[in-house]
Amino acid sequence: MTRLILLFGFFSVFSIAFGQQVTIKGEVEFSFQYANIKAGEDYSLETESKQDGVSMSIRKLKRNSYWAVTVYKSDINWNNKVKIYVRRTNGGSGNGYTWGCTNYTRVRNMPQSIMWGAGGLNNIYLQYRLSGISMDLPANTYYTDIVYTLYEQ
Amino acid sequence: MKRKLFALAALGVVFAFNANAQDDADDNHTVAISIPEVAILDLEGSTSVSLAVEAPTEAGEAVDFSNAKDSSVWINYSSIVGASETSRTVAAKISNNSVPGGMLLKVTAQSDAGNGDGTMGSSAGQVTLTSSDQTVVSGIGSCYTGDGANNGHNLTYSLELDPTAGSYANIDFDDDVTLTITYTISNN
Repeated sequence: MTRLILLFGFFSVFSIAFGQQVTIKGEVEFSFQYANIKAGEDYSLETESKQDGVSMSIRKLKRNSYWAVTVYKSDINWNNKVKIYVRRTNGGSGNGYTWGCTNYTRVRNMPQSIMWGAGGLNNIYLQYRLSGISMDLPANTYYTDIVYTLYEQ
Repeated sequence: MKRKLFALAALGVVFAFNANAQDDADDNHTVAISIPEVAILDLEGSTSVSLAVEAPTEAGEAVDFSNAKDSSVWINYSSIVGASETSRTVAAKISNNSVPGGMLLKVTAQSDAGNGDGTMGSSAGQVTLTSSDQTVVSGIGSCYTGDGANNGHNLTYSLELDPTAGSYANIDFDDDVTLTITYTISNN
């Protein structure tokens, strides 16, 4: 009986410890200054984050086969006039490879597949673009969580 | 009994594998956008306005104020109000010198020209300028009017005879003055 319990525990821990993993590092903050705006003017309607401000890594794949990544946003305090887009600016490093998401894709509140690949990759850089920033937004700090999900096939 | 336990343990092992066979993992990060409060205003178009009273052509008539008008100045503004604020106003006052005796200087802000976006202010109608702030545009929310002449609110100045009895006696031929009119955008 004890051996069976140990066996069960071993397989459980083994299975969890080696589950596939997607890791996101970095934060994105857009801060607008009005020092250079003349009276009557609007903000620039589009702006981009740094090309390497956020990185994604895909590791510990269970079968080392094909995978897909979906993205959606979970609004904390957001204004629907603001649209957010994401793209990858490199192919990452490692033995794997990826395709998709080289052009900006709008991030919505529903998951959508943006990137596919095979094998593990580190430091896939993600860049964001905002549109809809305008003077008619109330002064505030707006937040949204961008959630990436890795599916191994 | 042992068989049952073995079967249960085997099921557990299978479950442990299946629980991870859904093959997904996620991670997230936050995107933040900071929008500051903004309240900037300027005047476009003419930088100076000249209003002249015309002398009568017939003896016995009064001086003519009908052409003492000007509509060459525009107010532009960009404004972002906070979520807790209501709105802003634009006020005007004579900040240097005073209107010649027997006369009134009035200003009317027209409706916004419609070239910007957001919650534009509303005109307060015709206002008699004094040395104290008078609201000329109110209810400004988060908006921008567009920059330059023909954007925002056109201002119409008019010089009029003070309707108060006896005012005509205060008109002085030598009473040429240069006034400074100051406009201020502020929170309510």
